[in-house]
Amino acid sequence: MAVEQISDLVQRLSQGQLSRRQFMRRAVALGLTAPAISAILAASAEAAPRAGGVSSAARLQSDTKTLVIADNLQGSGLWLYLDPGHFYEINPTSAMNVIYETLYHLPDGNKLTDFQPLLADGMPQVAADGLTLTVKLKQGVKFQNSGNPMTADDVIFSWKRLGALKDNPSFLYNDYVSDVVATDPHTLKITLQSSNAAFIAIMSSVEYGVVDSKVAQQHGGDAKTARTGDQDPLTQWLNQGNSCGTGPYKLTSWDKASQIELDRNPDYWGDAPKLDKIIYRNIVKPNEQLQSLQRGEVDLAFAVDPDSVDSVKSDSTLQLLEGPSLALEYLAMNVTPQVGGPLQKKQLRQAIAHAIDYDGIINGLLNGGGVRPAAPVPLGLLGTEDVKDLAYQTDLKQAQSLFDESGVGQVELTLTYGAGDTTPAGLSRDTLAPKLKSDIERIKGLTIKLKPMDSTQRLSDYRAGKLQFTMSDWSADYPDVHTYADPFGRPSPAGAATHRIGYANPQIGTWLDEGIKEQDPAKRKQIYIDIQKALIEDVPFIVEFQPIYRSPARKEVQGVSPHGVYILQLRYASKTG
Amino acid sequence: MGLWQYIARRLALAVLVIFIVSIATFLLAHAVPGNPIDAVLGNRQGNNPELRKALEHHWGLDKPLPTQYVYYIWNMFHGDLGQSIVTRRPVADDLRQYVPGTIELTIYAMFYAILVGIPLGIVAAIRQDRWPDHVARFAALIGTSVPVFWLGLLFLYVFFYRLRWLPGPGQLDPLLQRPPRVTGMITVDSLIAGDWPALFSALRHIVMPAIVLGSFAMGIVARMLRSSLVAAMNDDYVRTARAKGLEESRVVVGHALRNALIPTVTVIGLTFASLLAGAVLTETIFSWPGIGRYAVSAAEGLDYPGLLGVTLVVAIAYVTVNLFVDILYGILDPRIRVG
Repeated sequence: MAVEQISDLVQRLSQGQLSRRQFMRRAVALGLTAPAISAILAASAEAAPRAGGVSSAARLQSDTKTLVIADNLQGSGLWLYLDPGHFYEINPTSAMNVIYETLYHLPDGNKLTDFQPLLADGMPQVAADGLTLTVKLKQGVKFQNSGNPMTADDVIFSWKRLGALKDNPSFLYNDYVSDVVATDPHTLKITLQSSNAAFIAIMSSVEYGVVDSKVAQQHGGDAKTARTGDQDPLTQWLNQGNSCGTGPYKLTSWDKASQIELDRNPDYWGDAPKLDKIIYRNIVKPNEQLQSLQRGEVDLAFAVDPDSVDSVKSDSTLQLLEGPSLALEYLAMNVTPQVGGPLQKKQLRQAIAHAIDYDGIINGLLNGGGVRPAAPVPLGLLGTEDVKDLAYQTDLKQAQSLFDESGVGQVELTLTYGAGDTTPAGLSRDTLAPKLKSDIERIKGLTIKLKPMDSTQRLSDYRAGKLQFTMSDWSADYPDVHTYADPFGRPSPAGAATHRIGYANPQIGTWLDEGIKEQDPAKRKQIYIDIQKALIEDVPFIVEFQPIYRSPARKEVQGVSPHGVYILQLRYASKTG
Repeated sequence: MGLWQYIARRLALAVLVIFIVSIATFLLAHAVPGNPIDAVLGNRQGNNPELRKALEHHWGLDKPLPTQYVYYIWNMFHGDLGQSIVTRRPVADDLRQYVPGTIELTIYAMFYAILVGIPLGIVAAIRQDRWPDHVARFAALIGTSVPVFWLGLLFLYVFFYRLRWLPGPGQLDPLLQRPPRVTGMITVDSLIAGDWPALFSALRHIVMPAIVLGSFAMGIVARMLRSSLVAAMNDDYVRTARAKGLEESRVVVGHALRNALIPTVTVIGLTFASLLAGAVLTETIFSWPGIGRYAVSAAEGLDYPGLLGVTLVVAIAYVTVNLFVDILYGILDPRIRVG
């Protein structure tokens, strides 16, 4: 419709996205007469930016080769390193994914079991015992800047360094791999400690990204020494705005206080990247990120407050990018008599699971920004859809009868949470906690005492198994069902989450050992379905929601999607004029 | 006692103050329960005892508290403020990066407070109890009583979001190249580099945070100057000056104002504290890279070295400003110097 096009043109003019000349040209093309154009121009003159010259917003809009992303770069635990060996964070995964590349990747965030070869040439050959994998590498892959060809030696150096550093992500190598050798410059032979059906997923994590071993060694990196990032000369060099990966973009500027810049890799071995530059701009709060987006100072805001989602949807210049996360917000209930007290009774835990108003949380508080798996394994991973319908439904009658059945009498539970913390969906725990309290207290005889704590202290206490009932979250280490089933199912004290609440179901332990080895996908799926069913029945953890990642962006942004593993998939990003 | 001796004594006192402040911060930071290692380690490795031990050793957290403090002071005298647990960089490097941003913002805020507060105070005093006085009083009241975070959000909404007069959060237009770092203050650096687009953009970016941060000080300055100027205008020497037939403007500026400025200067020194406190909020709202924002993330991550570093800087800033104010007194009123 011409009328809509005209009003869109006028709006873009008034927002400074179009110069007067551009406006005239387009208005004439739409068939507007000269008097009409001059009237519009005169009327909009007052509203035009008074910066004297072109506003930054206008320049950004006309620049179709630069993508500016608003993100909080400066907070605690954010944007520490872009070095595969030390990397262990959430948001910067989007940058890691386009700088460093792995042997296999997940191009589509909606298909988290669909691994595709990236630096590898074809899928691996797995030996009958499942212990050795042979992987062919692509020929002709070159590293950024140096132009060195990528060989098996680079992969071996990168992986062994990951293990040797003994930092947060090192378990991804040390817990699974026993050795990796080159049989020729483009063939790897990987020997595992035990047969592992999740290994393709594990080596698809950005921590398995391949660095240029020659450049890395020139800057003090080695694959032998255990050290933290601040002791590592290679990490320090990378943090000065350097990178040595094979990806379509390279790091060129690192200033966490204002912005981090990635430039196009002109010698990229694959399909040429469509942008010249990706800029992460430091804007701390989601509200200011959104304002900057609406005023055209940035193209995309990383986070959005659930309350602002409607204003994004109603803004014709914006789009809301959505994609499933692999994170969970959950409640943990200590099942030991000493700490959990009455919570050791399964019926009480089941009663609580029936009392929570999940719809109210997901549709009300999150404004639709979440889904709910039945067990502590995010939807999208193996076997989750099959048990989805077994999720606890809000049913107060059922809750009350289970509570009465448990025979605990009048009880008070202490629900702890980190004051000022936000859940992975951007909702504040200070808001979620009272909602949970009032939901659960609908069970007669049960009272909830809310106890906000300093967030690090809460984490310390939770890890030490001292908390009765607590609100927490978890994110995936690698995109396979085992990354959740193991910490949440492996009998305490071996499981990373179960030992915090003293939960031990030996049967789940046996299943986990079978599941990780099983190479037949159908059989493997059945094992994880059984594990999830057991976790639903025992309900030591209640998942309130699995966030949907939502990033508002300008309409011009194309090919970007929130992604469970890479958080934002930027590999195919472009901008239209 | 000469001026230099006076300064030397004040400096000696300052060292003592900083020493006490460092002990207090050290004890307070360690009194918080919870272990920073938990902020460092992810869910998967959080219970890896080997890794926990290695990291505790790395940050010296495995030593008794007094030993940790002695190490800290020893290293401090060697220019090493330790490693930040949150940023994983030397705290000294972090401070070098973030302190200039706060100094720059504070200077512009102070400029605003003085350039607006002093004329407002003068106008209010010479038009006492008439409408200019009421207007000035109202402006000062707004400045002192409106919380910084609210004013910040309001300014962003009105001048950036609605009217589009000024740019949003940040220091510089994202598409501009940051000028080479010399002082770390972006307006100064772009001036040194002769980079006019960057200077222009940086100035436009600093307007809002500076006004928001400086509004409290502006209100205080205006109120203080008004009351002391009103008092001075009724003094004998002003009557004498008028009796000599001096023009009213010269009476006000040359005679009354000079005396009325002494208490105002004290107040400017003291409101410096409010600027540092306000910087925490202002820097968060405007995503301004300064120590206020740095302090917040250090506190979130129980980053003892980071917190101590910030405290040290703030203490030094306080002591310096107070010293500067005392010296300025002497210049304004020679009778005070021999104290």
